[in-house]
Amino acid sequence: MDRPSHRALCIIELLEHIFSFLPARQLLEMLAVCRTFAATIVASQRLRDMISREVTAYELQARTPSFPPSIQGMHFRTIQTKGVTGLLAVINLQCFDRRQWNSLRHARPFHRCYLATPPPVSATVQVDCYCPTIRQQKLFQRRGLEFGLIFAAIDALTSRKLSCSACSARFYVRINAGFAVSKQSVERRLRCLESSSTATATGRQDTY
Amino acid sequence: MSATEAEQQVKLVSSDNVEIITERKVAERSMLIKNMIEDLGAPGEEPIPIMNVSEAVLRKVLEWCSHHKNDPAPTQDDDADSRKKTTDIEDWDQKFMQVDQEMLFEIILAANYMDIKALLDVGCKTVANMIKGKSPEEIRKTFNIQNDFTPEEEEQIRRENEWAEDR
Repeated sequence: MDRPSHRALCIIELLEHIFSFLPARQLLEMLAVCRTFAATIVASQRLRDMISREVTAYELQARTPSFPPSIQGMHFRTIQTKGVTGLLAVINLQCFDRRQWNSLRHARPFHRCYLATPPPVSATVQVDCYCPTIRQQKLFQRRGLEFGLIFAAIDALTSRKLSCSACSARFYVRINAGFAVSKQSVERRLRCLESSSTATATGRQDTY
Repeated sequence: MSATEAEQQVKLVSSDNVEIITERKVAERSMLIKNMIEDLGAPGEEPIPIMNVSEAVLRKVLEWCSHHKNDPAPTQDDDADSRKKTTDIEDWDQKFMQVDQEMLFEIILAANYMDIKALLDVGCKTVANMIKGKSPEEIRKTFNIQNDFTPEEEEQIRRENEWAEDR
């Protein structure tokens, strides 16, 4: 422990300072290095905020240059379902027609993120879709439906296709459930670390 | 600080009892030394002990201070900005930090002790850059860190971070 690197890496303030220069995704890796690193991240509100905030919104924006700006209005809220607390991602997405969808297929496939999510997480995503087909119909426009939101609750792990309930047209929505799950997973991990730092039990699973 | 004050020399004493004479302006990049000079009131007469820093490291730190002696004092905005880019290190600083890992951490510890924020930032950014893109195992190997997680905890961490992996 006399080595300068060991001395420096044992000073929480220094560790926090070093970590503050890392991207959020790398911070997640740091959780897995050793207990000191994990405890530093868990104890630091600033680093926890970096993970929660940047892994969701920042990463989403950075990795989806082809998405319309509306997707960037994604936000999260806590939901309670069957006694289980989870996070609900509320995303404002454009309703894509087939051509638009095809043009987006070359974008980075996000589904790989959430298909890699371990069970028992089942992300419920509320997608607020704006349908361009409806916009073209003046009648609906007058009714104020052109900007009306069509609610669709789906299981993001199994379904990525939706039908518009107003015009019956099939449209395709790229749903980024991975980030709802991601944030949940991150927060669960942080909670787990917090509780394991106070409890003597190790290796237990925190589940929703 | 007047021109005369800037030209004044101060005497520093390292942890291994070596006296180093340097310009006051250079030494005062360290808030620790600056405050000590102000407290002592008569720079140059009393040697200033730098208890936790060896001669080799102190000379290295003073080299950095000498190069940056005319830098403007950092503002709050600079501070927030510098935090955004890990790779944003000046060329001269990058070369300065091309030392072995132990010296790098010695510099960081010295910068922390001597309260030289800009040098601390450069050092921490250099370490952050060494970390970036590495897996936990690679990080342990790089910094010779012991893995003190149980296998069960490791497995749990791996599962929970799996979503973040690109496949």
